[in-house]
Amino acid sequence: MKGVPPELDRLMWALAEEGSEKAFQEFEQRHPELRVELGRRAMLVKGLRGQKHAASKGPEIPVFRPMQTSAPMRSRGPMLLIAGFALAGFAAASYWATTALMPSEKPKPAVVENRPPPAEINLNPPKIVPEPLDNTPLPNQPPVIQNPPPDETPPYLRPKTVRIRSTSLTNALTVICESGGLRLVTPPNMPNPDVVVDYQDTTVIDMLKDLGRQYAFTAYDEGDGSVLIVPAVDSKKDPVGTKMSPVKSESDRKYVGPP
Amino acid sequence: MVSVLVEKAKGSSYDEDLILVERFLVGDPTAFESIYKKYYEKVYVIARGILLDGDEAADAVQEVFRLVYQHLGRFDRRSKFSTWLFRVAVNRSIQEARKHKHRHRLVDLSEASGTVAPIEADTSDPMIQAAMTKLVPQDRALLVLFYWEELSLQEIADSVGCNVNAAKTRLYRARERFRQIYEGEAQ
Repeated sequence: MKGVPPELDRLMWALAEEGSEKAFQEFEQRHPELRVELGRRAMLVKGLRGQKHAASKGPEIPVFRPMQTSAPMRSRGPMLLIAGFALAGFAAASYWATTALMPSEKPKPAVVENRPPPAEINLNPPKIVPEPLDNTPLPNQPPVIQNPPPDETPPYLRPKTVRIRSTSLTNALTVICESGGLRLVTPPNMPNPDVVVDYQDTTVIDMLKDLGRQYAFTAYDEGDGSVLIVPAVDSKKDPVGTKMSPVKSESDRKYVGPP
Repeated sequence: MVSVLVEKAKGSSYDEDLILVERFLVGDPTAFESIYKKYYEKVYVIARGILLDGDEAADAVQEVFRLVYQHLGRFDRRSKFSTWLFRVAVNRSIQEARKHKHRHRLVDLSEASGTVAPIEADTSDPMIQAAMTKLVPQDRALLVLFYWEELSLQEIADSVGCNVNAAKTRLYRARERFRQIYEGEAQ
Protein backbone atom coordinates (compact mmCIF):
# COMPACT_ATOMS: atom_id res chain seq x y z
CA MET A 1 0.00 0.00 0.00
CA LYS A 2 1.34 3.33 -0.99
CA GLY A 3 1.56 6.20 1.44
CA VAL A 4 2.00 4.08 4.56
CA PRO A 5 5.26 4.76 6.38
CA PRO A 6 7.50 1.68 6.60
CA GLU A 7 7.42 1.54 10.39
CA LEU A 8 3.59 1.57 10.36
CA ASP A 9 3.60 -1.01 7.60
CA ARG A 10 5.75 -3.37 9.72
CA LEU A 11 3.64 -2.61 12.78
CA MET A 12 0.48 -3.57 10.93
CA TRP A 13 2.01 -6.86 9.79
CA ALA A 14 3.14 -7.57 13.35
CA LEU A 15 -0.35 -6.84 14.72
CA ALA A 16 -1.96 -8.95 12.02
CA GLU A 17 0.30 -11.85 12.84
CA GLU A 18 -0.16 -11.46 16.58
CA GLY A 19 -3.92 -11.27 16.30
CA SER A 20 -4.48 -9.49 19.61
CA GLU A 21 -7.84 -7.68 19.83
CA LYS A 22 -6.54 -5.21 22.37
CA ALA A 23 -3.58 -4.29 20.18
CA PHE A 24 -5.97 -3.87 17.24
CA GLN A 25 -8.16 -1.47 19.18
CA GLU A 26 -5.19 0.59 20.30
CA PHE A 27 -3.87 0.85 16.74
CA GLU A 28 -7.28 1.83 15.37
CA GLN A 29 -7.56 4.56 17.96
CA ARG A 30 -4.19 5.99 16.96
CA HIS A 31 -4.51 5.47 13.19
CA PRO A 32 -8.17 5.30 12.26
CA GLU A 33 -7.33 5.87 8.58
CA LEU A 34 -5.46 2.52 8.52
CA ARG A 35 -8.24 0.51 10.08
CA VAL A 36 -9.32 -1.06 6.79
CA GLU A 37 -5.76 -1.83 5.80
CA LEU A 38 -5.10 -3.53 9.11
CA GLY A 39 -8.25 -5.58 8.69
CA ARG A 40 -7.11 -6.74 5.23
CA ARG A 41 -3.77 -7.84 6.53
CA ALA A 42 -5.33 -9.67 9.41
CA MET A 43 -7.54 -11.56 6.97
CA LEU A 44 -4.59 -12.27 4.73
CA VAL A 45 -2.54 -13.72 7.55
CA LYS A 46 -5.50 -15.75 8.73
CA GLY A 47 -6.02 -17.07 5.24
CA LEU A 48 -2.36 -17.95 4.87
CA ARG A 49 -2.34 -19.82 8.14
CA GLY A 50 -5.55 -21.53 7.21
CA GLN A 51 -3.91 -22.92 4.11
CA LYS A 52 -1.78 -25.15 6.29
CA HIS A 53 -4.74 -27.29 7.29
CA ALA A 54 -5.66 -27.78 3.68
CA ALA A 55 -2.10 -28.75 2.88
CA SER A 56 -1.70 -31.12 5.79
CA LYS A 57 -1.59 -34.80 4.99
CA GLY A 58 -3.81 -37.23 6.78
CA PRO A 59 -2.58 -39.57 9.50
CA GLU A 60 -1.42 -42.08 6.94
CA ILE A 61 2.36 -42.09 6.68
CA PRO A 62 3.82 -44.20 3.88
CA VAL A 63 6.54 -46.71 4.61
CA PHE A 64 9.98 -45.31 4.10
CA ARG A 65 12.30 -47.26 1.82
CA PRO A 66 15.77 -45.87 2.25
CA MET A 67 17.34 -47.60 -0.73
CA GLN A 68 15.94 -48.25 -4.13
CA THR A 69 15.17 -51.87 -4.75
CA SER A 70 18.09 -53.46 -6.51
CA ALA A 71 17.53 -55.32 -9.70
CA PRO A 72 17.19 -59.08 -9.27
CA MET A 73 20.13 -61.28 -10.17
CA ARG A 74 18.15 -62.74 -13.03
CA SER A 75 18.26 -59.45 -14.87
CA ARG A 76 21.83 -58.77 -13.81
CA GLY A 77 23.16 -61.89 -15.56
CA PRO A 78 23.02 -60.58 -19.14
CA MET A 79 24.39 -57.26 -18.00
CA LEU A 80 27.35 -58.97 -16.34
CA LEU A 81 27.90 -61.06 -19.46
CA ILE A 82 27.91 -58.00 -21.69
CA ALA A 83 30.21 -56.20 -19.31
CA GLY A 84 32.56 -59.19 -19.35
CA PHE A 85 32.69 -59.25 -23.12
CA ALA A 86 33.25 -55.53 -23.25
CA LEU A 87 36.08 -55.84 -20.76
CA ALA A 88 37.70 -58.66 -22.72
CA GLY A 89 37.41 -56.69 -25.95
CA PHE A 90 38.96 -53.69 -24.32
CA ALA A 91 41.84 -55.79 -23.01
CA ALA A 92 42.48 -57.32 -26.46
CA ALA A 93 42.38 -53.92 -28.12
CA SER A 94 44.75 -52.54 -25.53
CA TYR A 95 47.18 -55.44 -26.10
CA TRP A 96 47.01 -55.00 -29.89
CA ALA A 97 47.57 -51.26 -29.67
CA THR A 98 50.50 -51.69 -27.32
CA THR A 99 52.10 -54.33 -29.53
CA ALA A 100 51.62 -52.24 -32.66
CA LEU A 101 53.06 -49.14 -31.12
CA MET A 102 56.15 -50.79 -29.67
CA PRO A 103 59.34 -50.58 -31.78
CA SER A 104 60.22 -53.82 -33.53
CA GLU A 105 63.93 -53.65 -32.79
CA LYS A 106 65.25 -53.45 -29.33
CA PRO A 107 67.52 -50.50 -28.69
CA LYS A 108 71.14 -51.34 -28.59
CA PRO A 109 72.70 -51.11 -25.17
CA ALA A 110 75.14 -48.31 -24.67
CA VAL A 111 78.17 -50.51 -24.24
CA VAL A 112 81.53 -49.60 -25.68
CA GLU A 113 83.08 -52.64 -27.27
CA ASN A 114 86.74 -52.98 -28.00
CA ARG A 115 86.48 -55.82 -30.40
CA PRO A 116 88.96 -56.41 -33.21
CA PRO A 117 87.65 -56.62 -36.75
CA PRO A 118 86.26 -60.01 -37.68
CA ALA A 119 88.70 -62.31 -39.40
CA GLU A 120 88.89 -65.90 -40.40
CA ILE A 121 91.46 -66.43 -37.73
CA ASN A 122 90.36 -65.96 -34.19
CA LEU A 123 93.04 -63.79 -32.72
CA ASN A 124 91.60 -64.30 -29.23
CA PRO A 125 90.60 -60.74 -28.40
CA PRO A 126 91.58 -59.51 -24.97
CA LYS A 127 88.96 -59.85 -22.27
CA ILE A 128 87.17 -56.71 -21.18
CA VAL A 129 87.24 -56.35 -17.46
CA PRO A 130 85.02 -53.45 -16.29
CA GLU A 131 86.26 -51.79 -13.17
CA PRO A 132 84.03 -49.37 -11.24
CA LEU A 133 85.41 -45.93 -10.66
CA ASP A 134 84.49 -46.05 -7.01
CA ASN A 135 82.55 -48.27 -4.64
CA THR A 136 79.20 -46.53 -5.12
CA PRO A 137 77.51 -47.61 -8.35
CA LEU A 138 75.61 -45.02 -10.37
CA PRO A 139 72.40 -46.70 -11.52
CA ASN A 140 71.39 -44.12 -14.11
CA GLN A 141 74.65 -44.02 -15.98
CA PRO A 142 75.78 -46.61 -18.52
CA PRO A 143 78.52 -48.88 -17.33
CA VAL A 144 81.95 -47.45 -17.90
CA ILE A 145 84.27 -49.97 -19.50
CA GLN A 146 87.88 -49.21 -19.33
CA ASN A 147 90.28 -50.43 -21.96
CA PRO A 148 92.35 -53.31 -20.65
CA PRO A 149 96.02 -52.70 -20.05
CA PRO A 150 98.21 -53.50 -23.05
CA ASP A 151 99.16 -57.16 -23.24
CA GLU A 152 102.92 -57.67 -23.13
CA THR A 153 102.73 -61.20 -24.52
CA PRO A 154 103.92 -61.45 -28.18
CA PRO A 155 101.16 -62.40 -30.61
CA TYR A 156 102.79 -65.69 -31.55
CA LEU A 157 102.68 -66.83 -27.92
CA ARG A 158 98.96 -66.14 -27.56
CA PRO A 159 96.61 -69.10 -28.12
CA LYS A 160 94.72 -68.87 -31.36
CA THR A 161 92.25 -70.86 -33.39
CA VAL A 162 93.03 -71.70 -37.01
CA ARG A 163 90.81 -73.86 -39.19
CA ILE A 164 91.65 -74.51 -42.85
CA ARG A 165 89.81 -77.27 -44.57
CA SER A 166 91.98 -77.83 -47.57
CA THR A 167 95.00 -75.84 -48.76
CA SER A 168 98.64 -76.23 -49.53
CA LEU A 169 101.19 -76.51 -46.74
CA THR A 170 102.83 -73.23 -47.71
CA ASN A 171 99.55 -71.36 -47.55
CA ALA A 172 98.71 -72.93 -44.23
CA LEU A 173 102.08 -71.95 -42.80
CA THR A 174 101.68 -68.42 -44.17
CA VAL A 175 98.30 -68.03 -42.50
CA ILE A 176 99.57 -69.42 -39.22
CA CYS A 177 102.63 -67.18 -39.19
CA GLU A 178 100.64 -64.07 -40.12
CA SER A 179 98.19 -64.76 -37.31
CA GLY A 180 101.15 -64.54 -34.96
CA GLY A 181 102.60 -61.49 -36.60
CA LEU A 182 105.45 -63.44 -38.19
CA ARG A 183 106.72 -63.46 -41.74
CA LEU A 184 107.25 -66.87 -43.35
CA VAL A 185 110.43 -67.72 -45.24
CA THR A 186 110.40 -71.00 -47.16
CA PRO A 187 113.07 -72.53 -49.42
CA PRO A 188 112.32 -73.13 -53.12
CA ASN A 189 112.51 -76.89 -52.77
CA MET A 190 109.91 -76.98 -49.95
CA PRO A 191 107.39 -79.80 -50.46
CA ASN A 192 103.89 -78.42 -50.67
CA PRO A 193 101.26 -81.08 -50.10
CA ASP A 194 97.61 -80.33 -49.37
CA VAL A 195 96.93 -80.16 -45.68
CA VAL A 196 94.03 -79.81 -43.28
CA VAL A 197 94.61 -77.52 -40.33
CA ASP A 198 92.43 -77.46 -37.24
CA TYR A 199 93.96 -75.91 -34.16
CA GLN A 200 92.00 -74.49 -31.31
CA ASP A 201 93.52 -72.32 -28.58
CA THR A 202 96.99 -73.22 -29.68
CA THR A 203 100.01 -70.94 -29.94
CA VAL A 204 101.67 -70.37 -33.30
CA ILE A 205 104.79 -72.16 -32.05
CA ASP A 206 102.87 -75.27 -31.13
CA MET A 207 101.10 -75.23 -34.49
CA LEU A 208 104.41 -75.02 -36.33
CA LYS A 209 105.91 -77.78 -34.20
CA ASP A 210 102.93 -80.01 -34.83
CA LEU A 211 102.98 -79.42 -38.57
CA GLY A 212 106.74 -79.97 -38.59
CA ARG A 213 106.25 -83.36 -37.01
CA GLN A 214 103.62 -84.24 -39.61
CA TYR A 215 105.39 -82.92 -42.73
CA ALA A 216 109.09 -83.22 -41.76
CA PHE A 217 110.30 -79.66 -41.53
CA THR A 218 111.88 -77.46 -38.89
CA ALA A 219 110.95 -73.87 -38.12
CA TYR A 220 113.59 -71.39 -37.01
CA ASP A 221 113.03 -68.02 -35.47
CA GLU A 222 115.16 -65.58 -37.37
CA GLY A 223 114.83 -62.95 -34.65
CA ASP A 224 113.60 -60.23 -36.99
CA GLY A 225 109.96 -61.27 -36.99
CA SER A 226 110.39 -63.96 -39.61
CA VAL A 227 110.35 -67.73 -39.44
CA LEU A 228 112.60 -69.86 -41.60
CA ILE A 229 111.26 -73.23 -42.66
CA VAL A 230 113.86 -75.89 -43.38
CA PRO A 231 112.50 -79.08 -44.97
CA ALA A 232 114.53 -81.34 -42.70
CA VAL A 233 114.34 -82.65 -39.20
CA ASP A 234 117.22 -82.53 -36.70
CA SER A 235 116.60 -85.39 -34.34
CA LYS A 236 119.35 -84.25 -31.89
CA LYS A 237 117.63 -81.10 -30.71
CA ASP A 238 114.78 -81.12 -28.24
CA PRO A 239 112.12 -78.63 -29.29
CA VAL A 240 110.06 -78.91 -26.13
CA GLY A 241 109.81 -75.65 -24.18
CA THR A 242 111.52 -73.67 -26.85
CA LYS A 243 110.58 -70.04 -26.89
CA MET A 244 110.73 -67.85 -29.91
CA SER A 245 112.70 -64.81 -29.03
CA PRO A 246 114.82 -62.34 -30.92
CA VAL A 247 117.98 -64.04 -32.16
CA LYS A 248 121.07 -61.96 -32.71
CA SER A 249 123.36 -64.51 -34.28
CA GLU A 250 123.22 -67.76 -36.13
CA SER A 251 124.17 -69.72 -32.98
CA ASP A 252 121.32 -68.17 -31.03
CA ARG A 253 118.73 -69.74 -33.30
CA LYS A 254 116.33 -71.87 -31.42
CA TYR A 255 114.80 -75.01 -32.65
CA VAL A 256 111.04 -75.07 -32.65
CA GLY A 257 110.42 -78.09 -34.82
CA PRO A 258 109.44 -81.56 -33.87
CA PRO A 259 111.92 -83.78 -32.01
CA MET B 1 28.49 -47.15 22.92
CA VAL B 2 25.00 -45.84 22.29
CA SER B 3 24.46 -45.10 25.95
CA VAL B 4 27.69 -43.13 26.05
CA LEU B 5 26.58 -41.05 23.10
CA VAL B 6 23.16 -40.58 24.61
CA GLU B 7 24.67 -39.38 27.86
CA LYS B 8 26.99 -37.08 25.94
CA ALA B 9 24.10 -35.60 24.01
CA LYS B 10 22.13 -35.16 27.18
CA GLY B 11 25.07 -33.48 28.86
CA SER B 12 25.65 -30.83 26.19
CA SER B 13 22.13 -29.87 25.27
CA TYR B 14 19.19 -32.12 25.51
CA ASP B 15 17.98 -32.72 22.05
CA GLU B 16 15.92 -35.76 21.39
CA ASP B 17 16.63 -35.49 17.70
CA LEU B 18 20.36 -35.49 18.32
CA ILE B 19 20.04 -38.67 20.34
CA LEU B 20 18.12 -40.30 17.53
CA VAL B 21 20.74 -39.15 15.03
CA GLU B 22 23.56 -40.57 17.14
CA ARG B 23 21.72 -43.84 17.56
CA PHE B 24 21.20 -44.12 13.84
CA LEU B 25 24.82 -43.31 13.10
CA VAL B 26 26.01 -46.11 15.37
CA GLY B 27 23.78 -48.58 13.55
CA ASP B 28 20.31 -48.42 15.05
CA PRO B 29 17.84 -48.42 12.12
CA THR B 30 14.82 -47.89 14.37
CA ALA B 31 16.16 -44.45 15.26
CA PHE B 32 15.69 -43.27 11.71
CA GLU B 33 12.17 -44.66 11.66
CA SER B 34 11.47 -42.51 14.68
CA ILE B 35 12.89 -39.46 12.92
CA TYR B 36 10.84 -40.24 9.85
CA LYS B 37 7.58 -40.60 11.73
CA LYS B 38 8.23 -37.52 13.80
CA TYR B 39 9.01 -35.20 10.91
CA TYR B 40 7.07 -36.66 8.01
CA GLU B 41 4.14 -34.31 8.50
CA LYS B 42 6.24 -31.18 8.82
CA VAL B 43 8.37 -32.01 5.78
CA TYR B 44 5.25 -32.84 3.81
CA VAL B 45 3.67 -29.51 4.68
CA ILE B 46 6.77 -27.64 3.53
CA ALA B 47 6.91 -29.60 0.28
CA ARG B 48 3.19 -29.19 -0.26
CA GLY B 49 3.39 -25.44 0.32
CA ILE B 50 6.22 -25.03 -2.16
CA LEU B 51 5.08 -27.53 -4.79
CA LEU B 52 1.32 -26.92 -4.42
CA ASP B 53 0.62 -30.52 -5.35
CA GLY B 54 -0.03 -33.41 -3.00
CA ASP B 55 1.49 -36.20 -5.09
CA GLU B 56 4.58 -34.25 -5.96
CA ALA B 57 4.95 -33.30 -2.33
CA ALA B 58 4.72 -36.95 -1.26
CA ASP B 59 7.42 -37.91 -3.74
CA ALA B 60 9.57 -35.01 -2.65
CA VAL B 61 9.26 -36.06 0.99
CA GLN B 62 10.48 -39.55 0.17
CA GLU B 63 13.42 -38.07 -1.69
CA VAL B 64 14.20 -35.73 1.20
CA PHE B 65 14.28 -38.56 3.72
CA ARG B 66 16.30 -40.71 1.35
CA LEU B 67 18.90 -37.95 1.12
CA VAL B 68 18.89 -37.49 4.87
CA TYR B 69 19.28 -41.25 5.36
CA GLN B 70 22.30 -41.34 3.07
CA HIS B 71 23.97 -38.15 4.25
CA LEU B 72 23.08 -37.92 7.90
CA GLY B 73 26.77 -38.21 8.71
CA ARG B 74 27.22 -34.75 7.18
CA PHE B 75 24.98 -33.14 9.78
CA ASP B 76 27.47 -30.94 11.61
CA ARG B 77 25.27 -30.28 14.69
CA ARG B 78 25.83 -26.52 14.49
CA SER B 79 22.09 -26.07 14.16
CA LYS B 80 19.11 -28.08 15.31
CA PHE B 81 18.50 -31.27 13.41
CA SER B 82 15.01 -30.09 12.48
CA THR B 83 16.45 -26.91 10.92
CA TRP B 84 18.93 -28.98 8.91
CA LEU B 85 16.12 -31.28 7.82
CA PHE B 86 13.93 -28.34 6.80
CA ARG B 87 16.79 -26.91 4.79
CA VAL B 88 17.09 -30.15 2.86
CA ALA B 89 13.33 -30.16 2.38
CA VAL B 90 13.20 -26.55 1.15
CA ASN B 91 16.07 -26.99 -1.27
CA ARG B 92 14.72 -30.23 -2.65
CA SER B 93 11.20 -28.87 -3.01
CA ILE B 94 12.40 -25.74 -4.79
CA GLN B 95 14.35 -27.95 -7.19
CA GLU B 96 11.25 -30.02 -7.85
CA ALA B 97 9.14 -26.90 -8.30
CA ARG B 98 11.54 -25.67 -10.98
CA LYS B 99 11.21 -29.01 -12.74
CA HIS B 100 7.42 -28.83 -12.72
CA LYS B 101 7.20 -25.21 -13.72
CA HIS B 102 5.68 -26.06 -17.10
CA ARG B 103 3.00 -28.18 -15.51
CA HIS B 104 1.74 -25.23 -13.48
CA ARG B 105 1.65 -23.09 -16.61
CA LEU B 106 -0.58 -25.70 -18.21
CA VAL B 107 -2.88 -25.54 -15.21
CA ASP B 108 -3.09 -21.79 -15.56
CA LEU B 109 -3.99 -22.13 -19.23
CA SER B 110 -6.73 -24.65 -18.47
CA GLU B 111 -8.11 -22.31 -15.85
CA ALA B 112 -8.02 -19.46 -18.36
CA SER B 113 -9.90 -21.54 -20.91
CA GLY B 114 -12.70 -22.15 -18.47
CA THR B 115 -12.08 -25.80 -17.70
CA VAL B 116 -11.66 -26.62 -14.05
CA ALA B 117 -8.39 -28.23 -13.10
CA PRO B 118 -8.64 -31.11 -10.61
CA ILE B 119 -8.07 -29.51 -7.26
CA GLU B 120 -7.85 -31.44 -4.05
CA ALA B 121 -10.88 -31.03 -1.88
CA ASP B 122 -10.13 -28.54 0.82
CA THR B 123 -11.73 -25.72 2.65
CA SER B 124 -9.02 -23.19 1.93
CA ASP B 125 -9.54 -19.78 0.42
CA PRO B 126 -9.17 -20.18 -3.38
CA MET B 127 -7.85 -16.62 -3.65
CA ILE B 128 -5.09 -17.42 -1.21
CA GLN B 129 -4.29 -20.55 -3.17
CA ALA B 130 -4.26 -18.66 -6.47
CA ALA B 131 -1.96 -16.01 -5.03
CA MET B 132 0.38 -18.69 -3.70
CA THR B 133 0.52 -20.29 -7.14
CA LYS B 134 1.72 -17.04 -8.67
CA LEU B 135 4.57 -16.65 -6.25
CA VAL B 136 8.01 -17.99 -6.99
CA PRO B 137 8.96 -21.15 -5.03
CA GLN B 138 11.50 -19.24 -2.92
CA ASP B 139 8.83 -16.83 -1.69
CA ARG B 140 6.44 -19.69 -1.02
CA ALA B 141 9.13 -21.40 1.02
CA LEU B 142 9.56 -18.34 3.25
CA LEU B 143 5.83 -17.92 3.80
CA VAL B 144 5.39 -21.61 4.53
CA LEU B 145 8.23 -21.67 7.05
CA PHE B 146 6.94 -18.54 8.77
CA TYR B 147 3.17 -18.97 8.70
CA TRP B 148 2.78 -22.73 8.55
CA GLU B 149 5.74 -24.06 10.45
CA GLU B 150 5.90 -20.92 12.63
CA LEU B 151 9.67 -20.93 12.69
CA SER B 152 11.60 -18.04 14.15
CA LEU B 153 13.61 -15.74 11.90
CA GLN B 154 16.82 -17.47 13.02
CA GLU B 155 15.41 -20.87 12.11
CA ILE B 156 14.18 -19.55 8.79
CA ALA B 157 17.60 -18.09 8.13
CA ASP B 158 19.20 -21.47 8.87
CA SER B 159 16.65 -23.27 6.74
CA VAL B 160 17.14 -21.13 3.65
CA GLY B 161 20.86 -20.60 4.16
CA CYS B 162 21.23 -16.91 4.96
CA ASN B 163 21.63 -14.64 7.97
CA VAL B 164 18.77 -13.34 10.10
CA ASN B 165 18.64 -9.88 8.56
CA ALA B 166 18.54 -11.30 5.06
CA ALA B 167 15.81 -13.70 6.12
CA LYS B 168 13.81 -10.82 7.60
CA THR B 169 14.14 -8.76 4.42
CA ARG B 170 13.29 -11.67 2.18
CA LEU B 171 10.26 -12.54 4.26
CA TYR B 172 9.03 -8.95 4.18
CA ARG B 173 9.37 -8.79 0.41
CA ALA B 174 7.72 -12.17 -0.09
CA ARG B 175 4.82 -11.09 2.07
CA GLU B 176 4.45 -7.83 0.14
CA ARG B 177 4.47 -9.65 -3.18
CA PHE B 178 1.88 -12.06 -1.85
CA ARG B 179 -0.29 -9.18 -0.64
CA GLN B 180 -0.11 -7.41 -3.97
CA ILE B 181 -1.05 -10.55 -5.86
CA TYR B 182 -3.83 -11.32 -3.40
CA GLU B 183 -5.31 -7.86 -3.58
CA GLY B 184 -5.00 -7.94 -7.34
CA GLU B 185 -6.96 -11.20 -7.34
CA ALA B 186 -9.55 -9.69 -5.04
CA GLN B 187 -10.08 -6.75 -7.35
